[in-house]
Amino acid sequence: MRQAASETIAELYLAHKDMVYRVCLRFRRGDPEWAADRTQEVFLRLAERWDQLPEMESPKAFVYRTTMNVCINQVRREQNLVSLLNRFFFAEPVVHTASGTDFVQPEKAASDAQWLERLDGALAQLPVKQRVVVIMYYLEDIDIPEIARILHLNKGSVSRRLKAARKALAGFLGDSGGLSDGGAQDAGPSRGGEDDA
Amino acid sequence: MTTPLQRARDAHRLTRTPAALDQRILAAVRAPSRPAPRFPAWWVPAFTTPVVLLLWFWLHQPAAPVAPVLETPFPSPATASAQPVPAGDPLDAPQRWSVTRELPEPLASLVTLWWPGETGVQSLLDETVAYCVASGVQVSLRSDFATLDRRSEMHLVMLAGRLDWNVRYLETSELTVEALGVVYELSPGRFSLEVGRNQVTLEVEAGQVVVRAPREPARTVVAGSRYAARVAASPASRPAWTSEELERRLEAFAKAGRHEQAAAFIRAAIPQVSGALRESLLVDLAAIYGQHLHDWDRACETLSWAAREFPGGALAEGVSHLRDRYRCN
Repeated sequence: MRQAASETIAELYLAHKDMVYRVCLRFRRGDPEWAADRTQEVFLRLAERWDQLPEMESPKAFVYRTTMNVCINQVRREQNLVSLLNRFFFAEPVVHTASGTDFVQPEKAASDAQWLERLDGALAQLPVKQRVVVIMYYLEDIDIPEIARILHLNKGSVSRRLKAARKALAGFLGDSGGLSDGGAQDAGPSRGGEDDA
Repeated sequence: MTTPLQRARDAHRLTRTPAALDQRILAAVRAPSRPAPRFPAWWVPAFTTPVVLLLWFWLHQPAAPVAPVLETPFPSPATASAQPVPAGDPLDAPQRWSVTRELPEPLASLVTLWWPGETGVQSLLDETVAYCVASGVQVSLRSDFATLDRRSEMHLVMLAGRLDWNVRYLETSELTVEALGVVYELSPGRFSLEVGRNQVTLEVEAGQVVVRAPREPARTVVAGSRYAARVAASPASRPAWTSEELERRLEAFAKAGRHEQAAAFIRAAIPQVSGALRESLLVDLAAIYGQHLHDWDRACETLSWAAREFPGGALAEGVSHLRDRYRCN
């Protein structure tokens, strides 16, 4: 019945592939190769562990959690390796993050690609745990209770991570940015710029 | 006013996977083999080189003379006195026993027995297959339905049929057969196990068999004796199952989330009922396997059983629907 399981995973892939791919993109500064590899890893891991899907859990939540775990593990692995190599070969570690001046003038950005580039630069500055909740909350429109359920966290932890992330992303938001302080605790349906309105 | 985040989010939500990636991942997901282990390629030489070197050094050590230590279970006086036993003799060496489950096709449950150099494949559904795996080792299973328990590969569940056992050497103490709730620990010997509708009969010709019945101390049935275990739900002691009672039991299992127990209960109840009730139980069992236990292999086996036993039954349409749903074909 491996064929039946593989068809199930194939259906799952067709249903959630875009979500997994774009989340992976946001995790690693919009790197399409990295995102493609992670997307493949996610679905192969799902194929291996499909029989471990908890009975009461929705497949979508299972996919989300697997995606986040795969991305976090890979980013940490790479960070460890890069920092080790940097310490070995260079006097000062090279950190590939966007500088703060990259996103203080959003009006100059004209195309979607530029906006995404700025967003990726801002996200890259966040620790991975904060990056996860920012992506899920602000980009995927998942509310805090649902994020807590998917990631097996309590709601307070999710809110705290969002709050910390907002501070780090203040440069991206500026005065008219999309992440205001008000939204995380009550997690209303309006996100992004609507919080500031 | 559109904020930076809103614009970035809108662009983010429009992101789609490249078509080439779709083809790549779908091909990988549908590939029959497992994905390659995810470790860097340099691990292979890094780990194999020391192993090869160690093997080379070890193989080039002068071998110390070692006396043969292999024992023969039934040594003849003439050979045991002077001649060492050839170490590679397949007839006298203890046989390694392992059971693995393979499902090359959905319609049959196959049990493969592996020995060095010999493989026996036996279909347990509606077939009688006897095979000799080595000298002095013979197992014959004639069973309407027998299957390996998913918890252990060394545990065979027989619902009906006959097991003829003739094994001289068995290198495991864990092989068990469960029939109507009674567990029989198999060991080298010669005996038969007949699983009927309400009774299991064990006749031991050589060796011994340990029998563990629920709520009873274990007992050993020795050579030359016979043991019959009757199920508690015999017609003499209690009325036959009714659909209402079965439904009530299954509902209680479902409410408690005890799907494994529900499946075991149905398996034990199936030999005791017939007709429409039996067909209904088979469909229930398949649904439990498929929906709750995610064991589509067994679900398909059970549906095949139902389709074969009740080709034009009242639930034939449901059986066909479930077979499509579980992709049994």
